[in-house]
Amino acid sequence: MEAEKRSLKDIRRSTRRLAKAERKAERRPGLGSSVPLSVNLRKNFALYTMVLPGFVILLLFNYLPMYGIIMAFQDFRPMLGFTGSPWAGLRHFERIIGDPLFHRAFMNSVRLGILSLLISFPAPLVFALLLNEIRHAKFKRVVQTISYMPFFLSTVIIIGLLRDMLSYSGGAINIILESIGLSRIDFFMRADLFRGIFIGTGLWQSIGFGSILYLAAIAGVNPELYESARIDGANRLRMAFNITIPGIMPTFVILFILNIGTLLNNDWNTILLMYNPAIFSTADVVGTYVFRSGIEGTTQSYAAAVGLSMSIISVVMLTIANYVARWVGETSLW
Amino acid sequence: MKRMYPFDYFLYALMVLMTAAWLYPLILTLSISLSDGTDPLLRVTFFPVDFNIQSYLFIFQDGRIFRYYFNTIGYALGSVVVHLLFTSMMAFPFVVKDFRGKTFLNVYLVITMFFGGGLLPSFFINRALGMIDNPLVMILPGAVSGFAVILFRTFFGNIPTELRESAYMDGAGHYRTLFQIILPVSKAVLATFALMNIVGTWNAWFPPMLYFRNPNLMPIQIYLRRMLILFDFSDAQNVDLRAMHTLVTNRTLRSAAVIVTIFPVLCIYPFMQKHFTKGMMLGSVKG
Repeated sequence: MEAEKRSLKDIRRSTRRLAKAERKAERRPGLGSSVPLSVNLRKNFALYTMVLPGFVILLLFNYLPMYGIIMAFQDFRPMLGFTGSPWAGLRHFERIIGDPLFHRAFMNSVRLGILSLLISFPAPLVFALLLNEIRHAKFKRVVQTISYMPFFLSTVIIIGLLRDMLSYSGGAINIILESIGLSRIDFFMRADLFRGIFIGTGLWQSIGFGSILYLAAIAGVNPELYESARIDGANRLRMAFNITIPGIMPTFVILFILNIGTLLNNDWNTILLMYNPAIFSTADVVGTYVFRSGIEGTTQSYAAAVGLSMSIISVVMLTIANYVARWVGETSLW
Repeated sequence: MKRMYPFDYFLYALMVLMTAAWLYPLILTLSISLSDGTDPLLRVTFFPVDFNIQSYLFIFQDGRIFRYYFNTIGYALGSVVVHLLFTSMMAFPFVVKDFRGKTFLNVYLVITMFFGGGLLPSFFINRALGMIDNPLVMILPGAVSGFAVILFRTFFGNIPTELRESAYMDGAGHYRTLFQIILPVSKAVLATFALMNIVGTWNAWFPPMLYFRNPNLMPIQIYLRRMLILFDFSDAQNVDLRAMHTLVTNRTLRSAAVIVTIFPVLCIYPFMQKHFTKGMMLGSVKG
């Protein structure tokens, strides 16, 4: 006991000595930080030039657009620009509250967001757990490789294939439906089917690639845990629930928090490729509404105001999710 | 042989079913592209109907697809070089003790990860910056991201300091140290980010739709979007081709265009698997 304590103390002391030596070594020319700023700047001028391109790119393409948010408080005219457009105060934000089209888009965003949180978000986890149970390595690898394939097809192509498969006149699905005695369905004109099609396509597209993170987490679980569980007579279900799932819980929680932050985004770029006025009642989300009114239409300031409100809601939701996660478990984003 | 439980049979059946669901749309597209395009009531569910390769002849004679493909390759190459160069340059000073301003730069990076201008402010700012019909819009806006810099920084931080110190001792400057010492041992992270960036540029259709008016600048996704989503063939280049186009239905043409586009990608990606799985793991241990 005593000896152990002493050796621990020794280790601590030697670590401290090493750290001290290291600090000393770092005070060599070119590596020390105790020189005056002007000398440092001259000697390490190259370092500051390295940061410059990235700094400027972020300034132009991330920070300037943040300044551009002022257009939500203006009556922005593209001809007049950010500096010349007249101020409008909070008028556009007041308009949001009474706008029935925004109301519809917002509710669609919420519904679609919750649906994907319940279905699309945990699906890769389930897929990873199932893959983990496949015991033929070669079969597993083939399934995995094929499951990554959609990641390499662009959204345009995926939606293009979907439109062809589901088309009313010659689409394969309708031909099959007809041949088993059912009637054809005009999939892209049915507002009630949009959410199902959207979620299904999303699953097809991202379940494989999304599982990579979980598979990595599973690979990081200590194999001895499985060994001892087997000796104790645990079956595969018990091992999955008591070892694998707790092992990947931190990854799951982090992804969950991040997902809350983009819950209302709804992947609206994809919806833009899928929807048409006939199904706006379920398919029009805030993102597509902003696009239609601000880019295709001429109410730029109003659209910017809607966009800003949504980003604020997203940041608030992300923060809340983070605090809840920290309160419930030990994993959180910050 | 391992013992098979009922659950295993269920599992294997499920996996076969899912694999079929992933492959079916591709097989179907291939079959449609190889079918007789003159039949307006084409009914393909699995095998080609009246096998022919007219649609491919049309695509190859028309040739536009290759120009768009060429544009996309140009954007992808430009974007990946700029991305890796500027990201590693911005990440490197973080691991040098001497560099002042790490805290400021860190905040500067993290803010961009959580806030942004949104669609309209970004669009009008970019317009004011002269990004309309400017190929740079495919390269610069996403070239540096807080996420990438932080991951690079973590990776560089895990490289033993002795490696850098010995370079400095030998009289190398910071640039030389980065490019000749640090980057050669960072191939794993570079390969992963290169792959992700290339896939991102390759898939991008929204920015070019927003910023490009000039058809000569269009990447392949815009061409595909016009064919697949908008069903627009109006700009076929010459009269002969337009006449030929009436002999081939849009549908087989569209499918042939998809196959021509995705074929190279499908050939390459299984061999890239190692890189992107590794990269996703890097992402999961971000510090």
